[in-house]
Parts: sequence; C-alpha cells; structure tokens
Amino acid sequence: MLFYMRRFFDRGYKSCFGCILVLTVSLFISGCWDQKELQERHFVLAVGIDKADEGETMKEKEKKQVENFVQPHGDKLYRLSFQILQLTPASGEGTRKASTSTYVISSTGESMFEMLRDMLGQSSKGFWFEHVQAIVISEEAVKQGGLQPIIDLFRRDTEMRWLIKPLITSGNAKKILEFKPPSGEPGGVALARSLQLYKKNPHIPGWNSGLGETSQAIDNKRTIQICRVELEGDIVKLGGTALFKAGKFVGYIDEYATQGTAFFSASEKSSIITIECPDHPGKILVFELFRHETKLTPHINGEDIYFTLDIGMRGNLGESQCGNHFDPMDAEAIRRVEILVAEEVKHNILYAFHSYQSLQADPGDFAAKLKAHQPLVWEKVKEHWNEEIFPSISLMPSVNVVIENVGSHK
Amino acid sequence: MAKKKWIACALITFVCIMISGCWDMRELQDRNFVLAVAIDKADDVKSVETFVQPHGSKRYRVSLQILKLSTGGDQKEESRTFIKSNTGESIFEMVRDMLGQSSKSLWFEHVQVIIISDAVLKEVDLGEILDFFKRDSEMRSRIKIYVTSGKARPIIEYSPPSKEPGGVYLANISRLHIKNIHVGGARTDLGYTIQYFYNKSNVLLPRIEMADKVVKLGGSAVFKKDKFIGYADDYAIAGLKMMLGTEKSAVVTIDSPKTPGHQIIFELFRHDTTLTPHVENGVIYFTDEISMYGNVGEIQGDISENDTMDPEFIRTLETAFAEEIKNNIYYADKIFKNEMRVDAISKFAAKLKAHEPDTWEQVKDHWDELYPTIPLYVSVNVTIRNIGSHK
Repeated sequence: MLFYMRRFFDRGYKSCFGCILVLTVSLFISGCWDQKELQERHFVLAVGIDKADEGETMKEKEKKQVENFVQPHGDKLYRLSFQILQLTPASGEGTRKASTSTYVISSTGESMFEMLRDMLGQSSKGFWFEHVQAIVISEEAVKQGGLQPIIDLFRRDTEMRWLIKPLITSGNAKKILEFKPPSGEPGGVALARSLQLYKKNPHIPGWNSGLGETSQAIDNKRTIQICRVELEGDIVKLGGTALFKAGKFVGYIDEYATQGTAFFSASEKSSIITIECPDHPGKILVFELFRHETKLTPHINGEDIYFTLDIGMRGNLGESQCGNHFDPMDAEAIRRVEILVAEEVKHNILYAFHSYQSLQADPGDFAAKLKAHQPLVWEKVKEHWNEEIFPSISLMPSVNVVIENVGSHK
Repeated sequence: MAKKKWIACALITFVCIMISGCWDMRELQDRNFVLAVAIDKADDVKSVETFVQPHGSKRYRVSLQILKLSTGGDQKEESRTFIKSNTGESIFEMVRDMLGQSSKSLWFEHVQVIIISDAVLKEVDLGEILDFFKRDSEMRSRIKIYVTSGKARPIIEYSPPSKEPGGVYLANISRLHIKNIHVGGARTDLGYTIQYFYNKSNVLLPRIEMADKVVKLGGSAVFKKDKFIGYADDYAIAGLKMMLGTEKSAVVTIDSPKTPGHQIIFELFRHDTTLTPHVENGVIYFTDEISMYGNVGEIQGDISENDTMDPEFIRTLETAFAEEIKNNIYYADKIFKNEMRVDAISKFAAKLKAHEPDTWEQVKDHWDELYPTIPLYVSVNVTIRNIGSHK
C-alpha cells in the first residue's frame, strides 16, 4: 500500500513540476511583453559628420544654442547629423497610404557617442542603428583629426553593420542627408544602393566600399579608398575616390583614375572605354568590357622593383560616333580598334598609377603582391614603402583586347 | 546500375536546387525604368553632373526620364517621373556614369521616345547620336524619335495633365498619325530610321514643340541621309502624305464656293494612289494618280445655301476638293524640291529604281542634284460618298 502511495506521489510530484514549468515558460515566451512596433522606433538611415562650425549663419548659431550641451571634456569639433526614417502607418479611414519620409537632426560635440545620446533630448523615440546605410563625412571634418576618431564608434558599437557605406564629400554632409531623392526613396538607402552599382559604373570604387573593408584597411595599415559624393542644387552624384593614408586624408583621385584603379586591381565587372575614332579625330568610339583576365606580378632586378600587368579583355563595340567613316564589318578596322582600345587601357592604368604615386599612397595591390611573391624584399622595403619606394617603382602594363560583337549587320 | 541511379538522383536534386527560380529575382520597383531620353547641347555643364573624360568633349547633355514606382514620398505626387542628366560625348559612358546619381540600375527596355534638340543636329549627324541606341541590345526598335527646335529636357520634364508617365504620353502622340494628317509618324521609329540609314535613304522625323504647358507634335524634321536640313511644316507633311499615299485618313478644307469665308471639310476614308515614274527620250518625270473616297465632314456656312442634297453642288465640291488636294501636293513638292532639295524618305528614287532600273543606273550617282529638277504631274479625283444630312 505504502509502496503504491509513494509511487503515486512520485508521479504526481513530477507531473506537477512539469505543469509549473510549462506555465512559467508560456508566460515568458508569450511574446509582446516587450513589443516595440516599427513606427515606435527611430531608424537612423544615414549619418552625416561635419566640422562643427562649417558655414553658419546667425540663425543657425541661435539654433546651435539649443542643440548644444555642456561637455565636461573635449571641444566642439564635429557636427553629427542623423537622417531618420519617418514611418507613417496606413490609416483605416480614407485612402491614405502608408508613406515614408526622412528628416534630419543634428548636434555638435567631440564624442560621437555623447552626441548621439544627447540627441535623444531632441527625439521622442530611441535611435536604432541597425539600418544605417551610409556615413557621409565632410572633407573639413576628416582633416581635423583623421578618419579613425570619426568612425571609431561605428566600428566599436554592436548595433552597427559592417556593410554601412562610408562616403566623403568636399561640401556639407548635412546637406546631403537633407537631400530627398526624386524617386521617393529615403536618401540613405539611395546613396548605399547607388554605390552597389559599381559593377556597371566604372567611376565609383564600390568593390571595397563597406565599413568592414574600411576597418580592415585601417587595421592592416593599407591605403583606404572611399567613394566621393557631391551635392549641387538638386543633384547628388557619386564619382571619384578619396584616399586616406594611416587615417589621414591625402587627396582625391578623379573618375578616370578610379576606373584605372579597377583595371589594375582586377575589380571591374564591366567597363566603358572610349577612344578617338581611328580615321576621324574629334569623334569617339566606345568599347564595352564584358570579361577580363588580369595578372599583376612583381619582379626584382637587382635593387630595382618593377611590376608587370598582363590583361586580356573581351567585349563588344558599344557605340560608334565616327559616322560612316568607320565600318565595323571590316575585320581590319576592328583589329585597329582593338589595338587602340588596348593603348587606351594602358594609358588609363598608368594615369591611375601615377595619381597614386604622386599622392605617395599605394592602393594596396602592389604591397600585397610584393609581400606574397618576394617576402625577403618586402622585409627590406616595408618601412618606407609608401613614401620612398612606391613612388619610384615602375609598372609595365600589357593589354590585349578582343572585340567579339559589333552590334551591326550587313 | 545502382551507382548510376544514385548519380542521377543527386544530379536531379542538384539541378532542382539550382533552377528553383528567384535566386536572381529583381522586383519591378527595384528597377529604374527609363521612359524617355532627351539629347541637348551641353551649354551649361554642372560640375557635379559630369565626370572626367579621357576622350571627347562635353558635346551632349543627355537626360533620362525615369519612372517613379515607389509609393512613398509625399501624398500629393505632382509627377510620376523624374529626370537625371549628364554631360559628355559618349552616350554609353554618360549612361553608366549616371548610375552615380541613381540608386537602381537603369533599364532601357521600356524607353518610349528619344527627343533630340536641333542645336545638336546642326553640329552632329543623326547617325552618330543614335549609334548607342542602335547597337545596344536593350533598346527596342519601336522607340519613337522626335526633333525639337527648343531644348529637349523640358519636354521630358513635362508631366501630362492626364497623369500618364511623360514618356508614354509622348510616344502615343505619334501613334495617332493615322488620324492626324499633320504628323508624319509612320515608320519614324528607331528600327525604321536605322533601316533608312542602311539603305542610304533620306529620313523624316516628327517635330515636337513645347511652349509653356503645351506640347505638340506637327510637321517634320528633314534629313538628307543623316544630316539635318530643316523643317517641313504641317501643310507640307499633309501634302507629302497624300502624294506618297501614306495617309489613312485626312481632313481637307476648302472655302465654300457658295458662301466664301466659310469652310467646308472633306473627310478622307479611302484612297488609291499611284506614283509612277516615266522616262521619255531620257527625260524623267513622275505622275501621281489619286482617287479619293470620303464624306462631307463639316460645313461652316449657311446650310440652306450649301445644300448637300443637291447633286450638282456635290459635284462642285468634289472638283474643289480635288483642286485643293492638288495644291497641297504641289506645295509639298515645292518645299521638298526647291527649299529642302531632298527626296523625302527617298521614295522617288525607290520608284525609279523599281520601274526603270536602267535609267536608275545612269542617274543614281547624281540623283541628289537631279531630283529637284524632275517634274511631278498630279491628277486627283474625289468622290463624296456620304453627306451626313437628310431631308
């Protein structure tokens, strides 16, 4: 009897325990106890960083009084601006559709973290940084203390993604955040997406455009390449590259040099190469690159370091403005165009290469190749590579172009 | 055997995974559809719009009209499209550089219309401008091409009151050439224009003009091969269409014989037009025999005097209409022979080549000089079928 009682009790105890466990767990996982709706969050889509007192009027100075806070340490170095997504939910009555728009708030100070926490005083909801698309940094701001202090928070904080795109502007970063794209997209999204089109647009350096790659470049002490963005009137456009050496801004290279960079780092997917018509100077002919094979090799000749670059390119004839003077059905003429395109690619590569040499900044490809192929030589030169060795090395490109389709018929 | 089965199984599974679709999907709203292209002279180069060119000059300003598909933005949308511009020489290079202003890749498969400012055409041949559109595989042959004497960009900036996207609206205007005798819209799209180039034929393209908030198609730009010559007005285009028999319908107006100062209108329904070359003793001339059937469309004068029930009066009208059509055709002939000195769309050359190949062989090398001297004799017969009134 006792035995059965005991067994029953044991069982009861166990099932009782089970019941309580289920109840507790279901209480905790029933969801919604910490719900936060989308429209209750302030998503930051883009961050702008300017020099604190850039282009100010009296009215803005008054406004700054309110935006400011008392800092125990540091100066008013930077103006931090956030582009915030405004979500309006669809409402039941009438035909009002859900819509999105953005607005910009800003603050000044030195620590980014301090500024953003103080900006909560201007906001009714908490900031969410998980969807930051782009960081626009003005040239003035980055000249003050280099790149590292500006992006440190974004590298360190857990909320930030590594795919955030840093961008540099020679103008005012806040103005770029305030720009509303005509397509109706939020500005930050438009900027980041535009940078992703680097596969088709040879004028932007999109292949290593994320905050992740930038961080890696900082840590590996490589030259950092960041895309340039400019605003004029109602046009925002990406094009060209800003270069940083050891976190310091060294200068811009233009669209042409950016295209050339892609050629020697083999990062282009497609490209548009223009040449002058063979028999018709002043008119142009366009080659559209589809496929390429690129090989950069370091060579040592005594004390001399030089690089060879072998490129094979295949593509189409994209456009001919030569009029009737050029017949693409003529194999001989196509042969000549292939040679001219190859010459042009060579010229472009050397143009880009010399741009880097004059800024004393190795884009990274040359040091990496030398280190991999000639580690002993690299050990000797690595200390003064960027300043002394790189500007004096030579690059010998050889390019072979094949035109596959001409886009015309008899 | 078993091994083979296993391989087949694995292969099928593998293929299924790879072709399960959607891996490269791209939603409609993730594409930037270009609806219209405007080509202007690059007068005002905005430094931010453009780029460093290794070759060529700042020759053109290319503007693209892009369809706005997103539902976001302000509630009261003014326009369904927006415009992006760039300056340079190679259109391909400009289009690719424009991606720096765009968040989505540009899609040209739905381009409706290309508008070219004549300031560009006075400097550059049409063939060079259209080369990119002709060579690129994304372009459709049915893209309409218009020429304007003003700037092209404002025309694609125009948002029609009907709220259609601008490019679609612009392209559809020329489709009404069947009813609108003032528009030479047949065979003027990209595909036909390229055919004309290859056949070394002359080209006509519709003219579009914009003033304030009015956009209108009428008349044509005349090209000798691909060189811009000038404009032919609405009346000359009407005459040319009747001369070559390319009209489907037409409205012909005359002054009423009974009540001068008031108009009577003939609506053309059907016609029979034969343009024939003749060579007699080495002299070339053309005859144009036209029979037209149609209705009395409108009478502005007093209808008790203009009595359409009177067969006699109808006979008078038929003669008067025939006279007017003849005048119209001679007017067009004069414009093209004396002012333009261009065999419009090389129709006369084609006829001569087909009917008198031997003569053509002799004259083809100096046809351009010969054409303005060749006479055309027109005879028109008009039959009025319905009068639209009753007793």
